[in-house]
Amino acid sequence: MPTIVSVDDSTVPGEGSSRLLLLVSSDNKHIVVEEDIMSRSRFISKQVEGFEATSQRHAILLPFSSFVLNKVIEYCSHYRGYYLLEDDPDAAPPGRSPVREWDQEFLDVDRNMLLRIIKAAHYLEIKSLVGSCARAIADMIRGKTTEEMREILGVENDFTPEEEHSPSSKCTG
Amino acid sequence: MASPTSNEFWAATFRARLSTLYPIHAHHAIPPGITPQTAEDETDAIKRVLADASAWRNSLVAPIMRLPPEIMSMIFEEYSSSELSPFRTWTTHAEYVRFRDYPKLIFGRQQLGWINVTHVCRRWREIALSTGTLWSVIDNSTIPRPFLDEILRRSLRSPLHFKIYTHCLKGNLLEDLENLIGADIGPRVQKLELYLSSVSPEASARRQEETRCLPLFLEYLWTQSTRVPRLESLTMEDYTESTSFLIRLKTENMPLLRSLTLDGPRLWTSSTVLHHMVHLDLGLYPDSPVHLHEIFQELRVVETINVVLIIDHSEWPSETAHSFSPVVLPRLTSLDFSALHISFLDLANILVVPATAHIKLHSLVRPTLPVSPFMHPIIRNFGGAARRPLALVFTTLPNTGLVLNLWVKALDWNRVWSASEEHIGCENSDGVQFAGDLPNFKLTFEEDSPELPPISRRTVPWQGLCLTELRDLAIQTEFAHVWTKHRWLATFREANKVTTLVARGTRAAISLLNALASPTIGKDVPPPSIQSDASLLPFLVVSEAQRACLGTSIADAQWDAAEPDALLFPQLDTIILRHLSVVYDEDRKVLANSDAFAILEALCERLEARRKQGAASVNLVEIPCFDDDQSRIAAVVDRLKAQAGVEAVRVVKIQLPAVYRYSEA
Repeated sequence: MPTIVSVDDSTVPGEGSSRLLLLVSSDNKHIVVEEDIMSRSRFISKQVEGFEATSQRHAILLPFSSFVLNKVIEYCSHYRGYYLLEDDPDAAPPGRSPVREWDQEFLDVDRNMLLRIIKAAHYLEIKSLVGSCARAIADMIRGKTTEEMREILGVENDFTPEEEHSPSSKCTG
Repeated sequence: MASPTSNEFWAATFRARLSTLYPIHAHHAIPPGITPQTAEDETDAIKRVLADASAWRNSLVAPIMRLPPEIMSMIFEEYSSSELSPFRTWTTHAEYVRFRDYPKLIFGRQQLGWINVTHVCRRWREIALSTGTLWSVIDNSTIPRPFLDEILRRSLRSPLHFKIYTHCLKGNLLEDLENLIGADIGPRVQKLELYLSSVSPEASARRQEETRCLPLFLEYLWTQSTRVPRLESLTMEDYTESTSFLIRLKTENMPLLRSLTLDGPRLWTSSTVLHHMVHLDLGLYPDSPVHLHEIFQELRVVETINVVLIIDHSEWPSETAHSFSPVVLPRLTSLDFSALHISFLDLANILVVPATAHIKLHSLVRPTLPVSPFMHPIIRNFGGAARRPLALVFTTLPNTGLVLNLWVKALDWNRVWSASEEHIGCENSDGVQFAGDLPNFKLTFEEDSPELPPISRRTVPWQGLCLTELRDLAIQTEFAHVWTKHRWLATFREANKVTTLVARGTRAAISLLNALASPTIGKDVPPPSIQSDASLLPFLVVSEAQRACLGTSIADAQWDAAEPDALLFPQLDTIILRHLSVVYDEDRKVLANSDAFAILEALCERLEARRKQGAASVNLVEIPCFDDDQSRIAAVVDRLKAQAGVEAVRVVKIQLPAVYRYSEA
């Protein structure tokens, strides 16, 4: 769970036309970002709603590194002001979100980074980013054999011989 | 308390697991009471322990194992849903690029290639088997009948998407259909797609069976409100022309039905159903424009329409023969309309749609057609002059002249955001996307068609391209049959922002070189000599029609005295010549070795002459070469740099498989 702490006024920049948020990464980096940018995150939006009940200013502690957080902020900044159906809490969830060229370039990162981004997006409840990451990971394994998938993702075969040849046994109960 | 070391941890774990087993050593005598079954049980137990250890290792080491199950489900769903029909079309260029190199797994049963994820590790299998939506597409063409029940079981309680191909049902058709969508399954069906067999002499009996059974099956489905009460989307495709089906849908029994796809010459539905449709996809052989008009008149809440009209233009009456009342579609967001000919006009004339609607028009262009529908003012003004741009797709036999002419019109309108060309009988073209008002406009002329007689190109009236913003020009043909030289000049006189020229093939290079010349710069570059031995790259594959082209000189070579003597492409920065110039026939046999060096020397002459005329020097020239051409190429490079003032010359060495070398011919 995120931790919300009170901070000094000096930590948070002054009020401007767009309210500023202070995000604190797991490596204790303080990142100031406009609320508008992060409004795509349902998690952040809910936190901000909570702030409004109090007069205190808050920082939001997040359980991932500043490197990952900056990537997420880059994504949110790019789509600032854009309507993406997947991020609309009132819209019916789309079957598959459309392929966005910018996302493909944005997610052209190494495997571990991609996994960190999807976890962060999941935590922050940014469905469009989770969807794009899921697609990128699916692309990574698409058309691969089982062995190739294991190799790509560093996974060991943990089936017993019987399980390996019986997909529906054991696991489904 | 200190944490145990790895050895201690595993030793303790195994000791606990193995404590109930007998001590086993190869040299030990088999203890009394040990049966073969006991030994097998012990072996199994050890394997299970090892498998558990691997599972723990995965959890601890593999980052992907730390993703929550719901994300893994999404990844699997992405994987499975992208394995779609082999007939799918790409809705965006990005999507096309993403899938074009994808192995052909989408065909046949390999469509289920994603199931491999259930064999990677236990956790993936558990997640996949507990994600009902993964197993909710029931396609009887890819899932063998014995496994259908298993797939249905794995779908848990998810809404179902049935794809039923009648040719895969081998027994009694009606019974098979009713077995597939029985009373327990029907309430879960959300999407239903029915594909009827194509008729053939040997299948005629089957066809009769379908004719008899399918109406009964459809009646079975929607005569009771309990059969498919959650059906949201219905597709029926039937490409045979022998039988008509009237699809009698009862909307009160399917209150959620909002998407209807009827693709086939004789599939019709009652008009009241159309009132509720939000998504409508029709492939029709309409009997008349009146029928089409009637369909559109019934639509009330439709948001997306995809209509393919299949009719020979000669059967379609002139648009002036009818007087229709307007059709207002206030909620329309997307119209994708394909037709052969002037049926466009009837539609465009009567539709009143929001200015924000995305309109994409496809037209099949044939040499025999007297005029393209896109050239008609009704299409040009479709939706009003201020509405958002159109997207046009030309489906055509490869015919550069005809298509170019359409592009000309499209560009002139200044309303087109995307125009692409799809060739019949060719693989899905990458398409050429361009916008007349964008600075990075790129125009690529496709290769001439060998199939069409040149006459069809000569008859195309030339209107002149609007190329004032053109930056990159790439051509892959020589337009002697479409453009005479003065047309080259007329066409490109206004293209004075071009910085990059790319020519693929000998004839394209000659065209470009001639375009580089002004009336004050020397003679034409001659057509390639078919006797020369020099060669660079054998990529041109020609047929009879192209062979004929090679022997001809460029038509209309006389300069028009009225042409100004200003140089074309004054800002030219880069010239790229590729695919010079051995010419092969369809069997990869050498047909001719044209003199590539004559072209390169002509290039030097042109650039030298342009320099003397005051043109800025070209910064980069790229030319191809074989290893054994290097000494001659070096002389060309020196000349380009020293005398033509070219800043850099890039020589692309060509390594060809031996089979392609002309010396073998």
